[in-house]
Amino acid sequence: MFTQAGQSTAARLREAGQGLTGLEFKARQVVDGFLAGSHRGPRRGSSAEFAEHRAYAPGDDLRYLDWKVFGKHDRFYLKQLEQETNFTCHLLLDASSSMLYRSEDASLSKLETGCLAAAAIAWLVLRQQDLVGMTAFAQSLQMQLPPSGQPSHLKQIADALEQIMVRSAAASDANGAPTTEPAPTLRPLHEWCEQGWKRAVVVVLSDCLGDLSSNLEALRRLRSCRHDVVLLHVVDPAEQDFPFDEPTRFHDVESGRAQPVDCRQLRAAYCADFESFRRKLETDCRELGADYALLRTDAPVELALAAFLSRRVRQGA
Amino acid sequence: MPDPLPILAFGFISPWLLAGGVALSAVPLVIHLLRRRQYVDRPWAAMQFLQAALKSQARRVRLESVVLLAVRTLLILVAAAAVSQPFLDDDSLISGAASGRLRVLVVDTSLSMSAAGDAGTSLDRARLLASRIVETAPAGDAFTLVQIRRSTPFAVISRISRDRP
Repeated sequence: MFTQAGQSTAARLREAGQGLTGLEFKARQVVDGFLAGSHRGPRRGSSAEFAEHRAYAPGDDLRYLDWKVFGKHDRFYLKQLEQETNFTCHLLLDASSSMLYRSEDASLSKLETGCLAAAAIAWLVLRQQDLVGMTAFAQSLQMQLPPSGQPSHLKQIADALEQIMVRSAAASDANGAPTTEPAPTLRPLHEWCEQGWKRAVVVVLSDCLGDLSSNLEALRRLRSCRHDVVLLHVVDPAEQDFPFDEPTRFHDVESGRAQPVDCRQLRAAYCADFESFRRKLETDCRELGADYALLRTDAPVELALAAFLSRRVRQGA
Repeated sequence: MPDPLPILAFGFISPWLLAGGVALSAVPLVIHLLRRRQYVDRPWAAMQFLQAALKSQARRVRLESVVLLAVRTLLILVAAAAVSQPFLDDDSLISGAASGRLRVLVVDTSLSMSAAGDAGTSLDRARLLASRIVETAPAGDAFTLVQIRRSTPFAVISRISRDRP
């Protein structure tokens, strides 16, 4: 579509020959670096959090015996630590065309950042021998990988993510077909809830553009299915800061409509509007009991890991 | 002093300078119009915030840019007008040396002027005439009174005077 300020993702990937190919490797790098302490999340010391009891069976390690329970009830119970309970993590990735946007300040588009964050979280989960599944959605659910705990699952996830990136870029290049109304981004999540997944940690990676109340409806639905929701709000720095100066004609990546704007005069109002949207999203998320973390595409992806981990730690407590 | 073109009740000493200035004052307008055509094209995802901001800003932004354009144009016009030295032709508003004339009143004060007539001597009549001329002369005019008697003219009021009586 545009060859100057916004090159299509596919074209850039072809040119650079790299982009986020090697996603699996990059994900491992990110996680290993993170765990080695380069970006420490809020970890509550090195001891694992107590999760629940498990009845003692002969042969179990007596280290974990809960002596207090023995003292009170004369029964043998093992403390089951958080790491031993298998949990499932679902990654719900927004692959709509608005996620393809990349400004000049960011090295990755929103979709690329989301994919990298998803892959990194997947590897983090698999390392702990937990289960992770992935679903990509745009106007509806597009690609789904059911949860698995096999370490080889990371490769499957990474391959699927790379496919999604290429496919989205190609789709946006092919059609300039304008949709009449921009659909609220998170609506397909209702469909996902109807698939009846067991209670799990659900990480939603999206720019959350569109009608705020219907996006919140989708999150509320997730919460009502008793999932632990973490919303990673993927935002391009240009969308938040609006660093433009000259008169610009903005072309909507979804509908193709053009809007001429005198940027210098508009910046203050734009930033105020965006900030109030973001703040409302954050507040309402917390009210729902979901976690919110802002993931700017110029920020290190480790922040996503930190947000995810802090949720896990708090969940176990 | 070149005879200036009267425009209404006043004129400009250098009308060409004024014409040049008026032409210059069109420059802000031209720049304003040209600027509107120079748009950069960009893709954008978050249209909803643009539209919301535009709605709240629209009227104020337009007013601001129009006012700015008007002020810039006016500034150049005023500067041009000042540079081309305006003045007022008639009457008492501007008493400048520009429009003053030097009037020399020559009065014959020889004996023949003491001839008596209907309204006093010729000299009296001459005096009356002179004072009437002085009174009715426009502001800024200067006077000199010169007497002529016998052979050599003799200046009574040798300084050029602008005072009336």
